[in-house]
Amino acid sequence: MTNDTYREAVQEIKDRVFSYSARLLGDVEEAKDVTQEALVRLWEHRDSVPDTPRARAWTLRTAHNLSMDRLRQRSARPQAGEDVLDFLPSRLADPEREASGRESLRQIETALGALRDSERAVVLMREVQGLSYDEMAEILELPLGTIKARLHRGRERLRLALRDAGVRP
Amino acid sequence: MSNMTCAEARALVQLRMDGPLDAARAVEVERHLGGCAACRAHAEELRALREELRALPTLEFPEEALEDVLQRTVGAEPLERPRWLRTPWLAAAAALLLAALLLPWLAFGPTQAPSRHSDAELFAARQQLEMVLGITGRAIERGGAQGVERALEEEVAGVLGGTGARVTERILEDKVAPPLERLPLLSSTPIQHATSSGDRS
Repeated sequence: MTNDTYREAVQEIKDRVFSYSARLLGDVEEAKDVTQEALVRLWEHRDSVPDTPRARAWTLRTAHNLSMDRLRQRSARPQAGEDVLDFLPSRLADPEREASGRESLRQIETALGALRDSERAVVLMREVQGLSYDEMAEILELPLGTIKARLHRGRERLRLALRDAGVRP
Repeated sequence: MSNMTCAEARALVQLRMDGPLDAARAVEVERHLGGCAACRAHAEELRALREELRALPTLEFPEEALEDVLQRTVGAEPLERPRWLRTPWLAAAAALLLAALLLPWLAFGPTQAPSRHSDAELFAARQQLEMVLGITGRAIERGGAQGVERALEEEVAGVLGGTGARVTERILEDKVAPPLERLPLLSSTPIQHATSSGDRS
């Protein structure tokens, strides 16, 4: 990977890696550090990462591992939701839907933050990042059955949390 | 309603979100959902959840954080040379191209009076210069290592002939840079011959 291909890869993956880390950690500042560290490590290993698709999986795995290390060192669960919400771009441009849209987002981000770390990771990878199961198995280094079991539990907890929060009728 | 339990049906609904079920199970779960409002609602909630998760906005990595990354990575590197210049045998190949390119100028440079060469020699030199310029241009168009390699293999070797061709082949076969003293290899070319007989009036 040359300077130019590294720059291109970084431009393409930086927001996805940052979004994943921020939602996994529930902390934007920590996610910044993790994303920076993952991108610098990508540079250090650029000779073994030939192209952007591989760079994306490689960097996401690094960010995932760095984030999980930080989560393990924490004594309290992340207060996910508010921190991430404050950082969202002002994309909900429709004024009429702004309030309800923000509230719905807040409920979803909060419900995501309340999941177990391992479940949140697979839900984020599959449903938010849109990764394939093969990519997830490579990143997480877990059997497919384990990944699917975590995903099913995570979806079910989210469904119940959103129903309890009144998002569902 | 089918004989499938609600727990079984809900597990299959989740599996269906991961990928297509086999035909028999797909029919059975549909039959269950057709007769069970609670499981139908459950399946609908999961579908809505998926849509909401996929619609979550992407967070933008802050510009100053990106600048810091680039400063610590590409910004800390000296100006990068092309990959083919970092590869010894390709650098040698590039030097060969350059030598071929410069040859007419070395032969007919300002230190030699043009009047000492015949019109035929000047014409040959011009032809060779144009040919080498064309080869170099095509090599650049093809890009990097492949362009240089193909130019050497297909064109330069033919133009140079003799020793030049042999050294070119050696570079291509071995992918090894020859000693520099082997690069002045153009003794068998018409231009070199013209230079060595440059005393003619």
